[in-house]
Amino acid sequence: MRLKVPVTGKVLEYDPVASQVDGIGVVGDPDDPVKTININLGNISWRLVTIDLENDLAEIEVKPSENISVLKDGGDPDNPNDWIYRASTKKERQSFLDYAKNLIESHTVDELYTMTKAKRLVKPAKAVEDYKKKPPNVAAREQFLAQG
Amino acid sequence: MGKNLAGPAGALAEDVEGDTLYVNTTDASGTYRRRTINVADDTEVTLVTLNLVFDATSLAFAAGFVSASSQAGNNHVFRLYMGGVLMQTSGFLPAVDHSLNFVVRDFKALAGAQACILKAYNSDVDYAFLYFYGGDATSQCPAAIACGSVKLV
Repeated sequence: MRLKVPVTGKVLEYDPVASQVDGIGVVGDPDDPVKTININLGNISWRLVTIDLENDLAEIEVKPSENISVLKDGGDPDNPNDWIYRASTKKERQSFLDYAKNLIESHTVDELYTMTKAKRLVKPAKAVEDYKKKPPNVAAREQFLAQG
Repeated sequence: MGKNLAGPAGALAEDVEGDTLYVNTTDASGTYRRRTINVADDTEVTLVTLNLVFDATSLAFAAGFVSASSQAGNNHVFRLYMGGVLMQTSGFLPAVDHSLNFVVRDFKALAGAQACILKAYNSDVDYAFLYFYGGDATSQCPAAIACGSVKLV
């Protein structure tokens, strides 16, 4: 499942040549890296597909967790012995995807930035200009992402 | 991706490679020969950083390996950064009394001096302990990052 999530951090440059190879092309500041806002999407993992530098969105490929931690009835959440680690059911995995999708798509971008208190993406005008002239070749990443 | 790099005008060759291991310099705390890192809420902790200098036409692959567990479920995740961009976030680390293995990995075109970084992030609203298990108080924490790249020649 794909989601588009707002990004924060600082872009140093957009490399049009690299973008045709890795489908991203963005170089971030190591001290303030380009990343999705810190919103808890629940029991999922994700990989970056590409970054839209015009709209400050990261497209991510989301997968539901195959194994999850569940607190025992009446358990103490701070005690590791009160948690059960088990395989998730098919129904649960779908609910994880539905949760993440609904969390993102039920809010505007402005609301998501406000909720997470994240700063807007800092990006040089030249990076956006270069991005518009030569958008990333996302197909370059599809083969890798398809492997899971 | 091979179609983009290799063509009639050039061939692929090895560029650079390297790895870094995580060595927790704080003393082991608690029992069970366990090292504890307290990660505050909504906070990242850098575990391992690998700095390399890549060729201008390089495509790099990096993988971060961790063996750990968490104080409570649904708190910690692991993140892989390459060239200042967050590439992948793992699922939640489980709350169990032993280590479990995680790998985060990805490709990215990197040029010049760039870093590949493995971080732990606590997404909860309260602090939570990250646990590494070792043989004794001098054991290194099991976390590492490796990276290799190819280039056009």
